Amino acid sequence: MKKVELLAPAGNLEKLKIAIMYGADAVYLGGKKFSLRAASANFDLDDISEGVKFAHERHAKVYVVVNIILHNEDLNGLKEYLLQLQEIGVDGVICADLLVLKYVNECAPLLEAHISTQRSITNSYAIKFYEDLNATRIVLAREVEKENLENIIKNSNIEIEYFIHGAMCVAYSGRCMLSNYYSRRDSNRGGCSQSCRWNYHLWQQKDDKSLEKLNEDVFFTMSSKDLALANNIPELIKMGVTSLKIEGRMKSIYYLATIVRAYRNIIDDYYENQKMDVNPLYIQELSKAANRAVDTGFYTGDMNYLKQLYQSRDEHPTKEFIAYVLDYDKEKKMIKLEQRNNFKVGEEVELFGPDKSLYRFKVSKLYDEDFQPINVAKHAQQIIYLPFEHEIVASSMLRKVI
Amino acid sequence: MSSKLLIEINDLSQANEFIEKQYGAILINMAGLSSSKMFDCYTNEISLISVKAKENNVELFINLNSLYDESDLISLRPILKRLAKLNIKNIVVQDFGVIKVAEELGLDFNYFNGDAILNTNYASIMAFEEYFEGFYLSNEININEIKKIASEVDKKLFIQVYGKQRIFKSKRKLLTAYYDYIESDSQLKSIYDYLLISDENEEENFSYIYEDELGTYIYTQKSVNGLNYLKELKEMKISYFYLDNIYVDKDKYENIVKIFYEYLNEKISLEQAQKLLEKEDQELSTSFFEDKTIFTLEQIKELESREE
Repeated sequence: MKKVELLAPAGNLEKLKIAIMYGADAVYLGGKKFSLRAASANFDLDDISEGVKFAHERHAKVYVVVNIILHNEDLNGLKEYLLQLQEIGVDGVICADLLVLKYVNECAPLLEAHISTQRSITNSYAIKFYEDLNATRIVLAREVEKENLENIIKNSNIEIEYFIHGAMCVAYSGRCMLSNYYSRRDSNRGGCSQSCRWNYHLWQQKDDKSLEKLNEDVFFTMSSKDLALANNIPELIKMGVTSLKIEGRMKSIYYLATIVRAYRNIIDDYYENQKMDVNPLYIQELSKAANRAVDTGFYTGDMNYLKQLYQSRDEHPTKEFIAYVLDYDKEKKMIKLEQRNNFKVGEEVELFGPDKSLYRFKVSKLYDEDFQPINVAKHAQQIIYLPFEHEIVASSMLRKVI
Repeated sequence: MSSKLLIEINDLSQANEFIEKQYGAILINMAGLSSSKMFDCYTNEISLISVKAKENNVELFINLNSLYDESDLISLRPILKRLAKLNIKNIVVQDFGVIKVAEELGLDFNYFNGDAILNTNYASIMAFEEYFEGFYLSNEININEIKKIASEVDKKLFIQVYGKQRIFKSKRKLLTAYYDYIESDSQLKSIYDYLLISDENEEENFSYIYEDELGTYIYTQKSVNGLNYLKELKEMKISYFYLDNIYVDKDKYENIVKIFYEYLNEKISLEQAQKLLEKEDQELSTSFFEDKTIFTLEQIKELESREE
């Protein structure tokens, strides 16, 4: 039985490495050109090359997002770019504009061609259309519900990728022009101003053509809760989904590490014991990185007001990322940390790492870079030493228990 | 082939009228299978319109322009069979699955790519031109981009030259959800509820919003007016000038169709056409015909610094 792929976002090289170390089987990233998420740092070709080397050494795959909808002025350099990606050894590209698919077929056939969720594919016959064009994988629309997903998988002969976690477009992806009309920023070329998350007033036009607000107190908002399908992972694996996708190329390394690690554990547990129940500890873990309320989106249907966000963005991180592990000194039994947020002696913290370790303890002592005792780690990126008995791997993270 | 109008209908009687007057090709929305508009038809109604259209040598296009769930395919198959029996040839699709369903059924249609938002450059259109007889072009490209596409592509091209422009489609029922959240006693009735939204900071900028069984739609408040560009577009050999009738009542829509028809056929001048159109619709815009969107990080930063 081929194991399901856990696919994570990589907004930059550091995030790529974190995602893979914390358990992703594959990552997707955007280059400097032809990719949505203009605000993300994105990768130049050297970064992509280094990322591919890092990933392949760890048996992970790298997919490059080439998902803008091209205008005439964007056409130059596309073929060459795809050739370069192939030469670097990228495993596949995720495309929305069908010209990219055509060029992959013609010039870079070693690349897998994944059809982006931007094309809003919702049925097996649409999948057949793209399969005939040599697409190797379909990233389904987020609007596909469980029953339809089951039937799509039964009726298709191609790899299916499904979103399991992260923020969602409230519109069909690729079919929202709010940003274009409200901000003159092209959403399908990476300039989305996220107009769907703004506050609006809803007005009723009266018979005399005058307008009246429906409600003065509550804004009309379209913003939806984030997706979290942790409890549904066993059934998604059983159904035959090829790849489980986490959204969020703009998210922090802490978010990425927490989310990838939790899903890695859920997936591994399922393959180990075939149980359909998910360990509640992993669900708790996910909540430690949540910055918006979550639900199951379209997967479970029942799309009502409980799946929307009103009044506020409902952002509520429950733990705070306080330090990043740079190294462990075996002789001194000290962890070398880089501070990310203020913390002090006496506070309860959790230490977690890519090796699945998790420790909870009270900080008893802290030392500065010169090994002088300190009570508070208060400077950004300050180097700190923390006495600890167990060996800890680099890239582990320390968070406050609140 | 010379350029012609592509017009919708507000009811069956208007279909007859438009066909008799031969204003242009007629676009019919298939009930239950097209993104909801002012009026849609079942196959028995399409049958009547089709007979009349053939008698008058008027082209018919059937809009099957939704995205279909796996479960929708059950209702799609008999509809396609019935359309084929009626000898309907031209089908506008957004979901390319329709092509594969028809292929499996052994049915032969002319397909028109109605996924306009994604039709923004000539090379992508040419890459898959074998599947389609024609393409709706994006409303979000400017006249120069259209010109370049028209010069390179040897297929029928469609451009919206009048009407509200769709800017958002969600499968979520956002109005119902909001009404439930605020516990409003109001009942959503139809598109004629004339609901609009405005940004909290810019209350003078409105967009129309409505909901049907397939989800929520947002349209521009202003209608695009392509009269100024019609001559140029005609010279580019654009095949069809599409006039959307959403939020336009029957009589007004007929007047507007007539204005575009007479100007296109050089029966009235541009100035006359503009004046007549402004009488019918005071909320007009050139939309993206003269405009351009931005998207790079540098462009966005520059825009934000100007706004500050």
